[in-house]
Amino acid sequence: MAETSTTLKHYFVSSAQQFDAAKMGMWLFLVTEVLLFSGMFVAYAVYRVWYPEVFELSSELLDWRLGALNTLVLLASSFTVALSVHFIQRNEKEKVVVLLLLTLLCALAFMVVKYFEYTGKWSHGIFPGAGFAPHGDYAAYYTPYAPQFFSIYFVMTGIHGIHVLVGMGVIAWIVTRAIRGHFSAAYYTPIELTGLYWHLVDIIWIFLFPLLYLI
Amino acid sequence: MAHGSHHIVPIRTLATVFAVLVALTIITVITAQLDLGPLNVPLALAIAGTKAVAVAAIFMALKYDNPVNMVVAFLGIAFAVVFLSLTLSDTALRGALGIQPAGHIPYELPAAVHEASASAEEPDAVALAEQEMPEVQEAPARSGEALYDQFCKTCHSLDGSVLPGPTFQGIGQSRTREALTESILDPDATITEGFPPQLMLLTLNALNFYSTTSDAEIESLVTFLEAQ
Amino acid sequence: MSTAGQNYLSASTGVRSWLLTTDHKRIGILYAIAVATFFLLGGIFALLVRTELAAPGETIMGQDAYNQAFTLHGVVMVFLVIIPAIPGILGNFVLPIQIGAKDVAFPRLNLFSWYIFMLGALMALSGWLVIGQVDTGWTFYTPYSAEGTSSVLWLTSAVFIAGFASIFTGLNFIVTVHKMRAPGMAWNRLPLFVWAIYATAIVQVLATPVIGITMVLLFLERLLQIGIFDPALGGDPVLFQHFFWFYSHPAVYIMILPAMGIISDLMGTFSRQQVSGYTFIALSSVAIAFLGFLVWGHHMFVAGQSALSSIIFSMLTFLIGIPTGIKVFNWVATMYKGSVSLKTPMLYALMFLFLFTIGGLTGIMVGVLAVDVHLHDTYFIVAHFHYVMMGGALIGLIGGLHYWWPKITGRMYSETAGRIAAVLVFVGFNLTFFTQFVMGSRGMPRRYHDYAGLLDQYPEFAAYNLASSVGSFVLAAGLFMILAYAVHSLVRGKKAPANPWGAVTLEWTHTGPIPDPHNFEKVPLVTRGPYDFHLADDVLGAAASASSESQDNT
Ligand code: HEM
Ligand SMILES: [Cu+2]
Repeated sequence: MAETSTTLKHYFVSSAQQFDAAKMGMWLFLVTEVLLFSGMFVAYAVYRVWYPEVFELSSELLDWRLGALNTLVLLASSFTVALSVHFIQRNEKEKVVVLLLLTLLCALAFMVVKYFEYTGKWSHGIFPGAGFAPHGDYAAYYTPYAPQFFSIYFVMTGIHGIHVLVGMGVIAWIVTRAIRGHFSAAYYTPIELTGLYWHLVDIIWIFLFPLLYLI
Repeated sequence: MAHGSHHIVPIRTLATVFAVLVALTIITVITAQLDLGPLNVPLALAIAGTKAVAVAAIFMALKYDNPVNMVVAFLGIAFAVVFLSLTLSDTALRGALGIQPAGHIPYELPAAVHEASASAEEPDAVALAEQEMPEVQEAPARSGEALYDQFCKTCHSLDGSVLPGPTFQGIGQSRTREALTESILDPDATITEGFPPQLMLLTLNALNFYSTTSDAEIESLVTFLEAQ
Repeated sequence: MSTAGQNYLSASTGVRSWLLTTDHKRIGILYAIAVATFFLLGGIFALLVRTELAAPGETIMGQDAYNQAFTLHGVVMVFLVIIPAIPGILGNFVLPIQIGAKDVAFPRLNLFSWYIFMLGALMALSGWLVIGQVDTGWTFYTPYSAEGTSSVLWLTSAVFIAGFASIFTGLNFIVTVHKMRAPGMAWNRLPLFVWAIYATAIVQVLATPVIGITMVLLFLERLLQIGIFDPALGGDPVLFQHFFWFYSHPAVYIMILPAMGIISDLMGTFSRQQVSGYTFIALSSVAIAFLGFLVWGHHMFVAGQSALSSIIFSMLTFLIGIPTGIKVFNWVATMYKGSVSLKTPMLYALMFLFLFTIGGLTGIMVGVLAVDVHLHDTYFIVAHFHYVMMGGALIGLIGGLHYWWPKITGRMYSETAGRIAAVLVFVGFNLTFFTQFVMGSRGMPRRYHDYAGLLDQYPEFAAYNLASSVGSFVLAAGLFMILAYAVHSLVRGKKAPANPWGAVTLEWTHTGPIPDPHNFEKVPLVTRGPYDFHLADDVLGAAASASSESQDNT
């Protein structure tokens, strides 16, 4: 009954059971991520309901073109990850490596854009919290509660950015394992789980983009 | 759910979903540029929600997966919604029943409240219940200068230096009393060249300037400005 | 593999074999050692607080030291003792065996959780020693926590880290219960302890991330002044309370649900009959887990939240009474016409029933909006939550530890000593906390270092406070007595048989006196429910049932 495989842990009966358990564990972990971010969304909603004009005015300072670009970049990376799962299920291992590398590239592009956005803000004196002192063209945006908007902006995108960085680390590790031939149609749990995580990072950005840049 | 057999999502499906996601991104950008009044926010959220569902259902393969994972995902979202809505039931509805002040707790509590809480050293139930509710005191009128310090100073200097708003140096000579009053009560009626519209109104509104100052206080503020 | 003659304690030895173990049973013991140490520490702070309040005026410390003492007492007891205790110790040890699994789903994650927990705990305590004391209370309310000493930063990071341990433990148990059950172990054959830990795990996974983000935001508030919670910067301090209680009210169910599970098992075993209303008890755990998320605003009735939301939260709070009542009535019904044997674990189960009912009912009382306006921040609240957290959660834990002690250690403890200690605990506890109900309802405020100024108006406060302080020492004496006979049992205790109580769940019927490293020689096939005593003759044997009957004469 028990399948013999090097990846099967002794306390599991079958590798199907092991895979199911790992996947459910990952989904539970994703749910904790959702609730972690929910705190920030609540903060956003509370202040937006109190000061809608301030939020609309302040969001003009965020460049929607860069936001949209980053949205497309992340969507593309989600697509490549989904494809990599598809191909490992078909045992086409070379394609998986390529696709994962493409994902990594997209993630990098995302972080580069974020870097330029952040430094652009800082050069105009837009910092989270006490350092908030917009000057030059941005001085007109120094309204009460604008600091709250930008604090929330930096915290949300900052924590999201940390998740992107962590994801990059994990994907890089998965790539090296894929190159070493650790995965096959019979065993690809790490790719599947990393993919799930990466899609969640994408979903969170799908909400951050309109909330911060558009409306 | 048959054990061991994992559903393989076809490339065509994945590609279609990706195309839809890109299209929705373009749509949300375009609709955000239009002025749809109150519809802008719900529309943007609806589009984002649709995108999220597409990613979860197909890319994350929830649609084909063991249903328990869908329940898990649903629980996460449901409780985020609980968190959001019950918190808003407080913050968005303060003052709803007319028995407490509306809105956000202001920057600084009025002096009267500070004194009241300082004197109430023994919050014991019996004595408090027997006590008369204290009359709400009208806050004493503030001087023009105090108002300036509290509301205007961040944007208007007295010494000619340039802040987000024009300086008050010499403003008593260049403006009449009526003009000054008008530019306080309706800042955007006339705009000094080179300064941003809306900014002052937004700021003062957010500080509850208009709702907390009496006519007499506005008078004394104008008098203070005339003297500059 | 054959493990004849081997048990999980003797299978390997040495410090490394413990610190690197992935055996859920050993990890349970690691938690037990850690939690017992922190409990001792938290208890010392409690005694310091009570000593200061024993008499009016300064007794042993000034106001600052007092504030630090009750803060540390609260933080240690809540985050380092009650929250991790039952899932960490008994959940780990018992749950996998009860469902017939060889281990939890993620054994390495399980060990990792313990290390994270220890890291958080040591950060909290070292911060207190090295960086400086915190006097915000365990609730860390803004704006005070956003000012004050910088060690708040350190302590909130510690809570953030310890939170992850709780999340990972919960995640592990949920997956374990879903995916690792032995053949035949249907959902309606799970012992009620498993159901309770499962419900708890749901709360851990859904609520704990929010205290995480709360601590991050508070941290950033201190570090960068982001102005979300600090009113001096335009933030809203009441918003902090929403964040805090969105976690911390569900967290009280993280504390109590596992204890309820223990009580269900004890009631069945020591009444020797099917637990009445099995399905209702099982599902009420899940109901409590979910309803527990809808009521947090009852901690904020007088904090300035909207009146409308106070009313909503007050009404939702009453709903909790329904599933709680279902449990209490079913426990009572389980004993009815059973052959009740008053062994030490059962004494604690009865104690739980009594104390928790008082705690729960006063919870409904303070959930009434108008009543709470008077009782908030008085000793009535302190008494309420000690009746549930100590009288409920901790008494449940102690009962459970007595029950599973023979299985964990392979030794028996002295039944006589156990009963005497139980009486001491019961008397001490009620003397300590019932007096607090009385003085609280008369207006004695909580978190005050001194009450000399109140005595003109309320001279009776002196006597109540003294009685409460005396009670706390009686309680401590009872607890130390437990420690003493536990140590005695380890060294000198009689060897325990495999099933000393005649219970019929798998950990008693399918393992040796001390379980194997992998729990079972072969995975059990489950053919009956957890309390089907009448079907269990095959595993109980005549001797076990005879011996448990012969001692029934108490
Ligand atoms: C029937 C169930 C319960 C109800 C209806 C209930 C209700 C309440 C209410 C309304 C308060 C707020 C009172 C105030 O601060 O003015 C409160 C405080 C508290 N409750 Fe409960 N409670 C229940 C069970 C529990 C349980 C099971 C625990 C823990 C194991 C618990 C722990 C606490 C704590 C720690 C506080 C005070 C927190 C603080 O301010 O420091 N409660 N409870
Ligand atoms: Cu509560």
